[in-house]
Formats: sequence, structure tokens, C-alpha cells
Amino acid sequence: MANAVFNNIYIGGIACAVPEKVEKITDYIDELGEDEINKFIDTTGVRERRVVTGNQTTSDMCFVAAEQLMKEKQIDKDSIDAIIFLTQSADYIQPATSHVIHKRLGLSKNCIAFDINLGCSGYVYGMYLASTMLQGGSFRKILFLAGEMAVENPETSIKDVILFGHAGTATLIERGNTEMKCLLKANGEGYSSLIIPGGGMRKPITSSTNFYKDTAYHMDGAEVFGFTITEIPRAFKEFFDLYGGNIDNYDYCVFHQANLLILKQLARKIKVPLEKMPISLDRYANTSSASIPLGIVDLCEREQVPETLNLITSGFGVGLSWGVVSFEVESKNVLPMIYTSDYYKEAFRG
Amino acid sequence: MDLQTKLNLLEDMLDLDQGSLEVTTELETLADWDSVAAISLIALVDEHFDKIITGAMIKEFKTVQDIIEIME
Repeated sequence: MANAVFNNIYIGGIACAVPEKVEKITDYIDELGEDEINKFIDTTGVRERRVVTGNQTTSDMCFVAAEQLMKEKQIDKDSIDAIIFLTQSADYIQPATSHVIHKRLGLSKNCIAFDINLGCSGYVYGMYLASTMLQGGSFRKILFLAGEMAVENPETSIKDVILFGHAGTATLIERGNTEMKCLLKANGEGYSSLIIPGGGMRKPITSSTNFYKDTAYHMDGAEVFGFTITEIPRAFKEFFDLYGGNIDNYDYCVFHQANLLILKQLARKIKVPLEKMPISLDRYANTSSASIPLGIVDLCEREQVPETLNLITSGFGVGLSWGVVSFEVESKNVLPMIYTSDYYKEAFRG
Repeated sequence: MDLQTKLNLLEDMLDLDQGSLEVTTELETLADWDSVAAISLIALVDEHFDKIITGAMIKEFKTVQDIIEIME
């Protein structure tokens, strides 16, 4: 079971980079009509989203976040022992994009690099994994990058496109003396509830297939919604049963920003006071694995927060997979939001 | 909860005028019966009746009466 308490970690920094381009949901009135747009905004809570332009990718945003974090926190690049890139929008089918970022950041040959394919649960999974590496191995500093740019596809419904925003984040996790408590879960029975069926080995793209149709994003919204409002409250209960305490012990509860209807239901069921539940999806939409660190950055920019933030976080989604992770972060280690349109001009394009 | 209160909850959820739904109303005739309505219904039933209905159950619903029957 992926239940663990780590006593020897420290969050050395959190940074988030988003595209400079802002798109308003009301820009889609011509396609969807005013009534439909208003209903979408009321239900999802999304009013704006940030979207990449030109050649910009998830890895570009994560690179900018990581580079800025290392500069601001004066981190020697040779001290990074591992770089983990978590996304569903990698630069290439192979190699792992973490190697591209490894090169761009100028990391040492002693720094290992690998990718993780996860979505909205990714941040809590990554925090757990990095902490196990710090506790069990010779690692001292790990750069954990999580980001997403949902693939836009003419075969995907507009509402499924505009629910998602683009963002890249970097979190520095190192050895220290703060505590992280984790509880992670998975249920493969729901693997087809959120899926892009084509483009892999199961349904390869060939000269006779329709690329856009086969690689369109499928989401069974009702199944995913039911899963979330059932399993996440259950996971919080198990978390508090295992580790003691309750929601009052935390300054904020940072949920993955799925949509407002889900957040309202979770707040009601888990009894999270609204003032303890930061909302960022109104301006950034659902940014998948980036939404928790993005939410922390946004929170520190918008509110007078304590010097040390005691957070409980929860991510949930594709897989199906979910988890609850609590940790401390000093607000001085949370960088202001970064806005960027930069991309890797020298990237290999074949 | 009586039938009228349940109908009013569904009318609110679907943004319809009070009194516009009947138990015999076929769901496919409602312009707002879509994927957003499905998740709103899951939330409504969870909040008021403390039970989780699945997407598969919702796909089987044909009339308002089918929904009323699970609102217990």
C-alpha cells in the first residue's frame, strides 16, 4: 500500500509558468451560444484559460519554471540528483522528455531523468515518489516537474477543450526535517473513463486511419464525477483514520482544480470551509497535474499567508488514480507566477 | 420528500420554469438534458439523498419518472 509518512523532506521551492496568451470562455459565444456559455461557466467555474502559442510545449513551461526556481533559490545545478517530468503531453514518443530538460538545464551525468505518464492525480503521486527516493536512496535534491497542455483536436467537443488550461510547474524536494504524509490509490477498472484510444500500440495510426478521430480525448464525465465524489471523501477519511488529525489542522486544502461542481461537492462532503479551499480554475481552468502547485503559487500571490503553510492536497483523475498528500512549505520558497511564451528553438524536429 | 419537491429540484437543476416537468416527460425532449445535466443530477442525488448514481444508470433513464424513482 502506498501509505507513508516521511519525516526527512523539505520543499525547497515551488514555481509555476503559464503561457502569456489568455483566452476568455466568452470568446466561444459564436460557437456555443450565450446560454450554453453561461451554463458552462456556472457549472465548471472556468472563465479564462492560458494557452500556448506557436511551438511552445509543456516541457518549455516546465523548463522555464525550473530554471527560474534554481536561479531564485541559488541551487547549484550539479546538486540535482534526479529530474522527474510528469505529463501526458510529452515532446516526443521517445525519448523521455525529462532528458531534453536535463540537457537544457545543464544537469550533471549523476542526475537521473525519467518521465511519468499521469494526469490530474500526478502531483500527489510525484511528491510521494520523490520522497521515497530521498528516504531510500542516495538522492539529496530532486526536481519534480508536472505540467500539461491538453491536446487540441477538431474531433474533441469545444467544451472538453475549453475546460483545460496549459501550465508547467517545478517543485524542488530535498532532504530536510519536515513531514509529508501520503495515501495513494488506483483503480484500473476505470482505465477507459478518460482515454485517448489511438496513437499507441493498441490502435496504431496508419496511412488508412483518421488521426484526429483516433487521437481525440474521450471522457465519461458522469463516471469520473461519480468516482471523484465517492472516492476522494473516502480517501480523506482513511487518511485521518491512519494519521490522526482533521481538516482543521491544515491552513489550506488544495484540491486538483477539476471543475467547480466537483470542488463544491468535495468541500461539502469533506467539510472544508470555503476560505480554506483556494480556487484558481476561474483564471487558469483545469491544468491537470499542474493545478495543485499552480494553486499554491496563486494562493501565495493573492492572500496574506503564514510564513509556513501547512497544506493538505488531493489529486484525482485518469487511471483512475487518486491520492491525498500533506506537507509544509515556507511561503518564501513559493515563487510568483511566471508568464512565458518561450520555447526550445533548437529542439530536434527530425 | 414529496413528488412536487422532487420535480422542483429537477426543474431548478435544468433551469426550467416551475411546473414545466411532469413524471411522463421524456428526457430526450429536454434541450438541457446533456452531459452537464448528468453530473448535476449525480451531485443533486448525492446531496439530497446521500447516494451515488452511476453514468450507466443515467443512460438508462427515459422519463422523469425514472429519475424520481431513485430520489429516495
